Amino acid sequence: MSSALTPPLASPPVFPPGATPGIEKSGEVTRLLQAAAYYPIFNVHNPAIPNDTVPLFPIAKQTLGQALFTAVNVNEQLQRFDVVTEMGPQGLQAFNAISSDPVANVTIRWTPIPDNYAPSPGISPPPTLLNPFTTQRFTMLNGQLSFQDRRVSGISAFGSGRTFPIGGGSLNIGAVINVLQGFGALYGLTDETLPGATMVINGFITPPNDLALNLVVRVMDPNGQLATSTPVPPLVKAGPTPAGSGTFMFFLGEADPRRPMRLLYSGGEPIGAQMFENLRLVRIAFDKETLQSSTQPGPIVGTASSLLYCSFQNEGTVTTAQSTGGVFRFHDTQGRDLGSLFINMIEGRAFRTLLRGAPWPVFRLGGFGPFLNGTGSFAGAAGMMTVNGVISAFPPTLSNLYILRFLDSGGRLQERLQGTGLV
Amino acid sequence: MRNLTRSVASFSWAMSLFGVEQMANLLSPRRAADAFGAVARSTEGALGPGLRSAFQTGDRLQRSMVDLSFSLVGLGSSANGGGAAQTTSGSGSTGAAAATSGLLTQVGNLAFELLQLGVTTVYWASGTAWSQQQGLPGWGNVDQQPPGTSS
Repeated sequence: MSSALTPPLASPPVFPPGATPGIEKSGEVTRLLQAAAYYPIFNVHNPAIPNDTVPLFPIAKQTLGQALFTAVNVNEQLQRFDVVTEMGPQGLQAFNAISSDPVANVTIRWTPIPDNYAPSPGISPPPTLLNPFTTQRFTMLNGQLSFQDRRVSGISAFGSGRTFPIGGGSLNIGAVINVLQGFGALYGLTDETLPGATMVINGFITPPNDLALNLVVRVMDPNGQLATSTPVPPLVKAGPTPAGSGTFMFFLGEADPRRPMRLLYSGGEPIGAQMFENLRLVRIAFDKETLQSSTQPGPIVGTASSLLYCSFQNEGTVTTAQSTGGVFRFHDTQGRDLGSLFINMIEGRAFRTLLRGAPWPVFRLGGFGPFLNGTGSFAGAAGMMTVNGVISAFPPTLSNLYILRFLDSGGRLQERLQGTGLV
Repeated sequence: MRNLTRSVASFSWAMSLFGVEQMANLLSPRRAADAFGAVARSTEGALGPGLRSAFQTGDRLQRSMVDLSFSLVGLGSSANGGGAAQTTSGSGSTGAAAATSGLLTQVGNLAFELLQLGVTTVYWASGTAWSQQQGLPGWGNVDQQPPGTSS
């Protein structure tokens, strides 16, 4: 108990390779990292509330302005998103549904940026045209997400992401957002009560108006103040996700006790970690009236491994992160191999976060990357992965939520997976 | 003044030897491409915010033109291109459709890059570029090559 009263040190000293400071607190830190409230949300465009483009040529806003613009003032309604991933007799199965009523609103200024520009809250980036023909970075300025709960809770946030053209003027997008402040039930972000929150986005847009986006807000909740005592029931009035959204699956990554996470060093400083995780089925949900959240972990159905590059010694609040050699391997309840997915987190951010009870700061991690390839049931799979979690370097442990969005425009993958029950 | 003269002389000499080395590297184009890329990135890093923006716009435009030129002569799309122009190994008609789609994508990309060059030129000429603030470094671009993984 005394460790919980000890405030974490501001920055870890440099430890030599092989040192394992704080290892005796591994169990307690793991528990603190796993304590989180999740808010899975889906954004389907409501034609009654159009988004407002910032055209390159204001004199031709209704014509060229829909094709040539440098920002979109987004004003969208958000629905609760229910994802049930199960291991059936034939393999993995996923059920996706969205609430018929909105549970929140979001406003942001969605702004393309040059590749080597570092955005920041409150700073207008150089004017950059949205180019639907190439991958492009973007930032989200003036982000406000307001829940329609009893306490009128909400968050202000800032983040960045990247587009991935998929043809027909549509763009897959992945994004990582840092929550700057919370209101109502989320008041306390980002102090000791709710030390930090991260949001990731995974979906597609067809600018300026059509979109289907999954947002998952993960609030660190070491005291369990946002946790329900009973699981949040499934949606009563629910509808399907829009066409083209793909199939979403959620998996909870946890440290593999047989293969501990190993820190990577360069020049005597930890520059990342070799990660080994067990992947559990998980159902996450929240009550739209109270914002109380429930996490129901299921059985282990796979493993994830990668090399994560992230400077744990960086004293800045935010640092870049990326991974290589990412492999997600799945098995059924009998241990039979279902196949592997190869995905790297091509762009991520780690947010240095003080967590009472942890001996040194931990790192909230958000990132994304497209599927590269697959084997077995996942051969030819296309899609996008987002990760929203938290990692501790000293002691080395983690808790990550993986969001896999499977695309299947041609129906070939679906046909092949019918036998395994994946979709 | 002496230091400046020394530095200019060092730069000229380094560039001369660099050119010789890259001539030798023409037998392994990947190595030469990496070397030229490293020098370009390093030079870009020495530019101020205004000129850096102009450099990036011009650089993207040049890359788009190279990609388009190579596609027109049937040498395929770039390995790190837009992503929309994914090649398939299907039937002949599918391959032709993909090639046409890829070409259209590159033409579209070039058109947007030309427009962006115009936007950046106005932004640069109006003086706004010189007062552009950079944000937090952690929100900058993520390196394509993670540390310690270079070949």
